[in-house]
Amino acid sequence: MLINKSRYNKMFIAVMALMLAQNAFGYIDMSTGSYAIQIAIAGFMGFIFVFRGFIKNFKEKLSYLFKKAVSWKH
Amino acid sequence: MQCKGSFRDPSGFICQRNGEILRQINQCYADDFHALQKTGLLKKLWELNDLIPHKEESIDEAFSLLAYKVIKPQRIPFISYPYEWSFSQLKDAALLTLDIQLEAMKSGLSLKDASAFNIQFMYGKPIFIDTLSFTKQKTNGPWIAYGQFCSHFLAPLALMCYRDIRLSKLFRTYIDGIPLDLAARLLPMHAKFHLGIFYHIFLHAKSQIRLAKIPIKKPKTPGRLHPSGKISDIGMRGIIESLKRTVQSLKWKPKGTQWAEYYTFTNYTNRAFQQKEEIISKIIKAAKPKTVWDIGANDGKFSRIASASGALTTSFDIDPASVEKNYLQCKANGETRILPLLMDWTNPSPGIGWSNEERMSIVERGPVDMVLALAFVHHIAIGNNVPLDMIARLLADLCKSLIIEWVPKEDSQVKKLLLNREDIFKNYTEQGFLSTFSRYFIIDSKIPLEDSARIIFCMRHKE
Repeated sequence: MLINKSRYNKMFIAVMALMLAQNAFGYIDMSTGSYAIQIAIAGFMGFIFVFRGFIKNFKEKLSYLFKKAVSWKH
Repeated sequence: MQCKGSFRDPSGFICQRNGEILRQINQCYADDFHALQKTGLLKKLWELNDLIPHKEESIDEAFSLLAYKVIKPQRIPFISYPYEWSFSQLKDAALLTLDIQLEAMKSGLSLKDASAFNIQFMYGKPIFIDTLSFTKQKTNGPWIAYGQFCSHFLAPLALMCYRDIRLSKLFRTYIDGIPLDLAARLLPMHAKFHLGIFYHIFLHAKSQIRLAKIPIKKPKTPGRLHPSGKISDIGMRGIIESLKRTVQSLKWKPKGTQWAEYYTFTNYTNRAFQQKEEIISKIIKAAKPKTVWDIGANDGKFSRIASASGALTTSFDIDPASVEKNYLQCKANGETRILPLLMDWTNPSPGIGWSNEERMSIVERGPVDMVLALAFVHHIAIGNNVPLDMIARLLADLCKSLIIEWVPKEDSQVKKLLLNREDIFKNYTEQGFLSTFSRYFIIDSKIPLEDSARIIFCMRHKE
């Protein structure tokens, strides 16, 4: 009976070990993460660049309209 | 003989033959080297004094059948390593790497390495030494050296700036840069509020760990394992500019360390200090050394006397604040013959890397014509319990001639060192000092300093 119990214990531990097993990180590749973050930052930078251009254009148009309105008043 | 630190890049290697430095470029790098020349980038970087100049040698000088070309780069007077640099030296090296990358991108090229070991300090400024680091930029591809740049430059600079200046020493353990996850753990919470640090270190570290955990799936495109996604030219330029802004924004003011105010709180009278300067100047002018190591230089007062006589002077100190001050002064004055470096002589730079040979120890980088060991011996002998014989032996390995200051026990600085400890230094007497040093050196002159118990000795190596 005792032998059987210990056998069950061992099997339970083995099954649990298999279920909880995670990937081994002996072969981790850090460059994948570096690539992914670059894509994200580049996208963000690209957005900032386009947004800045949009704001600049908007300001220019606004000042043009404002100047036009002022000159029309006079 | 192939240089021991030059074996990782299959594009070529550095060799030494008959005292000359040569670099073999292998056939596998022919296309990239041709592009470097054809695009005019090589010439442009030479004009900017950013890349080490070289001359082409005959192919008969080749070291193996793989050779495409053999070049002879200009010799660097003294090889130093990132763990020996001050904050601003590392920062200048980082900015140079980014400037070169920006310049390379204009020519459709890119740096494949962003290692801090690819930078050396020559004649007062950093210079890029790896001519074989350039490769054709893949359209819409990432910067392959981005991760390396962050761990070689950004992480140590951020740690020095936000946590503690002494963390630059981590470079000695992590020869391929400080792991970003470690940097992210060590950085304080408020560093996350710096946008550049947040995404180039914190998010980057998280991304590295997260994606490293995902098992590799069968790629949709054969041979492609990396995440799909394109990086536009604007995006790529944005990344480099953002790195540049982040590096530029990191600042450290030298203050509060042990030695930073050394000359402000000295026990010298003005007369004694002036006389010391005159004596050192006179000895150096007479000896005319070509190379000098000032091994306890503080902010480089006496290194400047040596460099003024034409000697290429390496100015070592244990204190990061003193080295920083010295470097900033060199930059401000345009001094080209002084190289300030961080060095703890009780635990100097060892040979590290593969087989402990990839990066040279400081002793291997000697000997030099002259060593200045001023106000040095008492710190090592009494402050660190190093016997006089071991100090003399090390100095004999480092130089052909020596200017050394003897600081006796009656001196107030030595009294301070002995204040809270038992005096176990029975041999620390002028007689003991002379009998020990005369085993390795011929003592040429003895000059006592006025208004002081200190003595300057001028010595020559026995062999």
